[in-house]
Amino acid sequence: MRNFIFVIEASKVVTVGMAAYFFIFGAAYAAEPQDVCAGAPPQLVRSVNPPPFVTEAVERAIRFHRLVAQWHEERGATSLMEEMYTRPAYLSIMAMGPEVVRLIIRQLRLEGENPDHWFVALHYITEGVDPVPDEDKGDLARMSKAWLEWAEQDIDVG
Amino acid sequence: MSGSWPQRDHPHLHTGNCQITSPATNAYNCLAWAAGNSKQWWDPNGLYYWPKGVPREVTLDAVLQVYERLGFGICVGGELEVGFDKIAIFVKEIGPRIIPTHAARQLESGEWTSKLGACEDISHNPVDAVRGPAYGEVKYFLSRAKQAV
Repeated sequence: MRNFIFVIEASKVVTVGMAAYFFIFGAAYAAEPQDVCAGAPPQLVRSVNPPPFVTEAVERAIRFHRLVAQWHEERGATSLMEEMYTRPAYLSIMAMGPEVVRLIIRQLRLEGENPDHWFVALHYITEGVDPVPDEDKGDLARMSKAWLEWAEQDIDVG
Repeated sequence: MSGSWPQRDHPHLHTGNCQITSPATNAYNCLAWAAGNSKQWWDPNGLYYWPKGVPREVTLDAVLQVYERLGFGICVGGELEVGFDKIAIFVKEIGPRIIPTHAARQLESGEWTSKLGACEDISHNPVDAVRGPAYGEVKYFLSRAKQAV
């Protein structure tokens, strides 16, 4: 089984970082000049460089959660896994690579007894890992449990 | 309707022809629900449950084999017949492919029950009230003699 090494204490960084991101960028956009009738061209007041505490991990978490919402919208009422995992948002999540495994595992934890269909993504990103025993396939709660146990052994979820 | 499914997927469903009968859940899907199973998500993908011996492929033939193993065979129509269980198989055509999309099960009242993906399950009448862009149209009806409980 492949080992994954991730940034420690990521949960605190994500929480603080998300709040700071929305606070700062929300304020920056609100402060943009709106007077299109004035002679001078509008001035962009937003900083070119994001504040140093808006880390890649924070941006990744924000992107992941946007894609999750987009995927729920895109998949509609389909019952077929083939249709679920070929939706653009799900493909985008898989394309985020190993760095997104920690976020998916955390999402599975949050979903508790009604886990969503993250198993194809996890299987793909981890290049073939499948910790679910044959007798548990199709039982999503047990499938989720198997992946969470795998994660405890193989990655630092934070 | 106040269900969680998008209207675009089921434009023919409305309060006059369907009723929500359970909360939305990922625990089972239509293929399992039509077979009377509310514990598993049945899918030919190798990570999910699929009956042994049935090809793990998204084809109409594979889905028909799933229900053949449970005693169902193709029948003429979806009318209520005393002593028989019935299932409707929906398909949609995407280019040259015929994709099996959905299975609905007939209730003793003659109405039908469908699990709508990860959304709710519903009772509906007629059977093709769930037709549309997501599920296409009914292709086959299957039946078997009711089994003693």
